Amino acid sequence: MSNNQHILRAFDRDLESVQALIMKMGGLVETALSDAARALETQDDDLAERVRLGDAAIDAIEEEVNTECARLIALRAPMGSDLRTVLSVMKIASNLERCGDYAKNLAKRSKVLATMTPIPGAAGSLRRMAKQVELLLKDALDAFIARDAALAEDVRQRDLEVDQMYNALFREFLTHMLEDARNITACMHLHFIAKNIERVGDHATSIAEQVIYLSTGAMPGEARPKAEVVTKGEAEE
Amino acid sequence: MDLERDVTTHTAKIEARNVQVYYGDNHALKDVDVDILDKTVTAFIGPSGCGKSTFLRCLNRMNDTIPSARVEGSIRLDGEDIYDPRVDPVQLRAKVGMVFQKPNPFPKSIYDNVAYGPKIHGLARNRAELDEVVETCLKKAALWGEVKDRLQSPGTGLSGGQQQRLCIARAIATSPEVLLMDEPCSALDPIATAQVEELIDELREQFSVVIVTHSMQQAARVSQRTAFFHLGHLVEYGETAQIFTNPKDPRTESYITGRIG
Amino acid sequence: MSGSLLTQDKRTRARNAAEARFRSYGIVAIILALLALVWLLISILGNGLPAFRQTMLTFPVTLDAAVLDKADTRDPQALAKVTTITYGKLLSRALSAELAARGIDAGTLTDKDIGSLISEESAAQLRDKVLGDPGLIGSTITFQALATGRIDGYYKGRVTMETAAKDKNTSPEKLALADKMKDAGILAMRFNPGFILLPDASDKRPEAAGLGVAILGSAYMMIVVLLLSLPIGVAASLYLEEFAPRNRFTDLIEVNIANLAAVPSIVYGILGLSFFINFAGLPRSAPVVGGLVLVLMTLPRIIIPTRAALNAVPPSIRDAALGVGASRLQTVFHHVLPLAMPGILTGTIIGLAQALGETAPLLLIGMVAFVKDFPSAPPEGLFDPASALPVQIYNWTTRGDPGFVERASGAIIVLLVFLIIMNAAAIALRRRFERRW
Repeated sequence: MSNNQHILRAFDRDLESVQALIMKMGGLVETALSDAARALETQDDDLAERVRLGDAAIDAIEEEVNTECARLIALRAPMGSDLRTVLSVMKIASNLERCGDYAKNLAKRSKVLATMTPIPGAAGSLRRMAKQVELLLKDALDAFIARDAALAEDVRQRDLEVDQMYNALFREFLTHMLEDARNITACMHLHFIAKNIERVGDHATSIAEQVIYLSTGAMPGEARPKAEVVTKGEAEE
Repeated sequence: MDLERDVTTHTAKIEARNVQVYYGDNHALKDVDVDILDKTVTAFIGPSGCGKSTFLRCLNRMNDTIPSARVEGSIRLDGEDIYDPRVDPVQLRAKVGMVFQKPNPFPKSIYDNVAYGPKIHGLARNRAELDEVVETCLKKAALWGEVKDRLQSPGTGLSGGQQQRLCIARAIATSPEVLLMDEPCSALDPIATAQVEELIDELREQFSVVIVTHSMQQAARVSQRTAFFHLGHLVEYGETAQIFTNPKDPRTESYITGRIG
Repeated sequence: MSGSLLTQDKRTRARNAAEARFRSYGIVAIILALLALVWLLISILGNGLPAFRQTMLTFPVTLDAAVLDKADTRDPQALAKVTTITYGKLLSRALSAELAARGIDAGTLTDKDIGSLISEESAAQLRDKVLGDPGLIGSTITFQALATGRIDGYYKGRVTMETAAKDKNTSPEKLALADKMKDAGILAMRFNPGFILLPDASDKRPEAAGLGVAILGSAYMMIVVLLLSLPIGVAASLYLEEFAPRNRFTDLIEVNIANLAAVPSIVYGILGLSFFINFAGLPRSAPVVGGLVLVLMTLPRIIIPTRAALNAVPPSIRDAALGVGASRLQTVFHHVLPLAMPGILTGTIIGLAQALGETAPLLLIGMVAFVKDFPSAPPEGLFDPASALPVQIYNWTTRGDPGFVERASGAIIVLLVFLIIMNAAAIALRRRFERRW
């Protein structure tokens, strides 16, 4: 059966080590995200700076994953589920790298925001949203390790909540900007942060889809649930 | 899906139904149902002793030469049962050619190797026609350029890859409709293997090719359809791309991913 | 597992010593075999080579018409009535006359004594010559007469003055006269084609005994053996190897063929005697019977190597032929048989060589009989009595006159030469066929 070990045990070790890299990378991304959200809320410049610098490590791991996968394909010629694992790992690594970039962007913007008049309630909402997304990311990676298609499907469904939170925040920021034009800069930054967190959620969904492909051999067919578009032009890029 | 690889529209050339093969008391092949499509490369893969070579040899009745072998069920070539008592195996083998694991050219000249089949089947009326058949077949086997100046030198003096292509030329010289290949590249180096694989891909335009191989990469490279045999059963049969990325049967999965199955 | 590679440990030394010992045993065995071979060759050549040279007396003989053809009609029937005794006397007188002419003193020896230096066979040879060409009568010809075995033996070291003194067939005086004739050039050792060409001679005339009939008889038998055992043997092998089903019956046949190859050859002689001569009524001493017996003996010895040669043809060739749609028969005759040919020919020739050297079965079917007349040309000649080389050797070694020891050894040389030629042919054929592929 496919959960049995390979006859060539070095193959197993290679596959495990590349998946371990993904988990390590996922951990770093989750921490970066939560640290960035905390730095935003507490206006902690040092923490934001650490998040910004930490992104280099995430990029390095992605590079390592790509190298490892290329090596695996060249040397082991993976087939069937092994092939799908390697392909998923590469895609997930690329997703996580994007998530890392968003966390870094969040940290950068939180440093800028620290110099401006705070928008009441915004930091808290963003932090809750970030928390939710973190959870999605964590579940998606757990599903990956356990090859749990049901959990992955759950992640896909729960992305809807994130979208709804984003939509709510969007309206909130719009209201603040309409109230006072001086809020526009801050709100624009906050909106980008919200958008970025929402994008992290999309990446978590993408990871979940890879997990479904990995365990069933087919990409999930039907379109995933989407919150209604806020305004024209604000829909999917 | 790659259009060139899409063979679902091709008709069945060989239909095997409920095929059983016994070697004495040993039930070597059990309940095999396969449709081999026309103008398609079909690969048989599976661990040693799984019955894939046995099944291949059923398709041109080479098993007849083994006294203890017994074949049951029906194998139809263009709708005609090849195990019908009226069928002469010699005639069948002219229609269903075979290339073997080890390159086995006759210890005769290159020319005679290719000309032998047409000669015994009376496919050429005179020397000029025979010359033409030899040239055509050697060209089809992508060997003409290498041997055209030494057609009278012995076929055994060629390199391994050239010998195997000579054997393919010899097999297609009898104008077969199906070409069976029993691990044709197992004795060849990678370059010679690539040349033979390229040749197999070209032969697909005219013949239905069935190839037994131990190399899954080779099956993946040359075939459009793949059948996986295990312990005398046909476990899974389908599009090659599907078999190698997303096999349905866990035994296939275990085998192609190199796990103990 | 430590220790330098530059020094040998105890086990290695012991193993190397064992290997060196084993090798030296092998070398000793080969040296012994070579010594035996050299001894055989020296003794055979030493004893046998002189048989190819013979002491001859050369002198003019006047074929007096008054003696040989009293009626002077040259009528063949009248000529044939003149016996060898007359010719013997003619030779004696001619030799005496020659001695006198050369001024050689014959001492106390009479004309008859001088004549006794000449082989009795020579008189017969002269008679045959005259009968063959009656025109010679009346002329004087230079005739080469064989010296008797004793004189021949004297020059080959068998006979000395001392033994001659005790020998009633010769005397020291005769030997002395022979020496004088040798000085005068009448007597000389010459190459003796008669050893190969002439038939056997009686016990008293070793100097005239030849292998002609035996060689011809052996050749006839080899023709019979080749023509029968090769096709039958190859056909049987092909059937058993390529066509026959594997069952208890064919197993039985196989075991029996292997056993037949090991049956002592004299048993085949008894079989030949009871079947071919007593039952089928074929003539005794005939090459056809000897050949048939040898065919029986040779068949299993051809079938076994032929089957081995067929078996050695790689199955991939059979597969290849069947794969392009050749029938069973085409596969065998187009591919398998040509590839097995070198092996088959080698086996056949070795079988023939064994048959050529076989003695025992031929003794039983009467080929040991004394045959003086050449068999005629085949096929009738196959039914004429003949001898065979090994039987001739056996025959000569049983005879009393010491001159026959030399003859037997000479015959062994001839037999060995034939065997060497056959084996060389086997090697040459194999080379030739192998080069073709």
